[in-house]
Amino acid sequence: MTRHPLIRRLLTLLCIFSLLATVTSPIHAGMVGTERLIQTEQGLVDRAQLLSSLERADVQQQLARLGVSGEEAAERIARMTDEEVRLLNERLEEMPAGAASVLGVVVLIFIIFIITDAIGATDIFPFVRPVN
Amino acid sequence: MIPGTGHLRQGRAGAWLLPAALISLLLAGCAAPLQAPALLRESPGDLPRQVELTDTPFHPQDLYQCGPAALATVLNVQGIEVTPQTLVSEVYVPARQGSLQTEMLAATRSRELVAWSLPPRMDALLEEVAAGHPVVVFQNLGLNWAPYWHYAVVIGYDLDEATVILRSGTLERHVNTMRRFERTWRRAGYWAFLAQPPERLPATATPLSWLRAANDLERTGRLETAAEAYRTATRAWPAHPVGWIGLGNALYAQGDLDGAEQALRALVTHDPASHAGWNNLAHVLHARGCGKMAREAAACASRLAPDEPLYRQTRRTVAQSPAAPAGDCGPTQEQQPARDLRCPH
Repeated sequence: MTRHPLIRRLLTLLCIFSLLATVTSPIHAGMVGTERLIQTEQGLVDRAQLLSSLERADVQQQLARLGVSGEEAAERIARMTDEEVRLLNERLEEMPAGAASVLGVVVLIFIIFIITDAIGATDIFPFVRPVN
Repeated sequence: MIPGTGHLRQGRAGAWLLPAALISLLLAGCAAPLQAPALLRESPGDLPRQVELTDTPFHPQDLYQCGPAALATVLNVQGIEVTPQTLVSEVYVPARQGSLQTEMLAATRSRELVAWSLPPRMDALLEEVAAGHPVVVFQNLGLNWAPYWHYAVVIGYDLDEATVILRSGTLERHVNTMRRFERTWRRAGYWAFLAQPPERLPATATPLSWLRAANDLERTGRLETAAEAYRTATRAWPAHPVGWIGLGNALYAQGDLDGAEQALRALVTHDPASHAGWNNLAHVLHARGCGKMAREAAACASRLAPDEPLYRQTRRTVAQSPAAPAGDCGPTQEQQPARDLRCPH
């Protein structure tokens, strides 16, 4: 094996590049990658799922009691990025399918919204943005 | 000023109270309740009461090597002759005395199988076992603050006895109560996966979960298997656009231009609004030397999504593409003439 450090380094680089060449899917740069589409689709599914939970009568009742309208809640969801919606949904999915607990989480999340909106202080959820 | 101070203090106490209440609520939210009780009370009607995949091989683990043992078990089921010993170098990290989850998935993909992650639900786990798929599960057999990580393979269950049957460690037939099993599984984040052949969908697969697993194959250069997995998706969910795009991309990347063109044509035929489909079809047609058709497809993508910079790039790419002499654009065109493809306005 060669001892020259520069050549050795170059060889290492060459190896790395050849590896990179084999692992990236060789589609044309102007083509839409599958991964990107999957992310977009997932974002749509997540958002639809979260919004559909707002349409339930029991959730709306709870929200009304807290002084938040369904439209306001939907607007808040609309302001969130895909990543933030995903985090919220994950929290929902941790809960069992029972309606009561899902309701509890949805309400909990909106309590958090209201409080952080009001005092603008907590940083428990990085995805909550002040309204103004 | 005393009343004012009192008022102020009250306000501050209120500000403290709310985050404190929130945090306690959150902590309660973190420990999700067990799913097993509800599942046992009211199990899905189509779920058999008892299942045991007795043909599943057994590899008693050596010392800490439960990862290689569990992986060898499910690979053997798929007809891949491999022993835990040979997997040690792939998935075992001696310093950590264990195997990383990502490496378990990567080793599965390297055998041209789809490593499909289960949704974090007990009913999904049982459904997969009932469908004949042994499931690799990740468990924390210890406690949250003193974890004891472990991989095992779920091979059966009994709803009447409320038990789960596993190939686990040195136990060939480890019968655990469903609740206790779920606690150990929950402590490891309900992590589980299947090693599936690309042409066979898991029982609880959703389009996106399967497509993501197929995409993991595509991104790691396992193009043939990825294409097969995408093809499976297009058969199961023909209306879902991403399966067709994935199939087209994976075939294009392998140089199978005919196959890629067929997949993308199928997509834009029954979903003419798919701009990504038109865009990628333009590239395939360009590579086939069908310049005129490539320009039409690229123009269509741009018309459907005028703000997408990628599509402008495509139009530049295909602008100089020579128009092929009539009839030179292959048998695909003869079977499905270009006029069949209509760009929506």
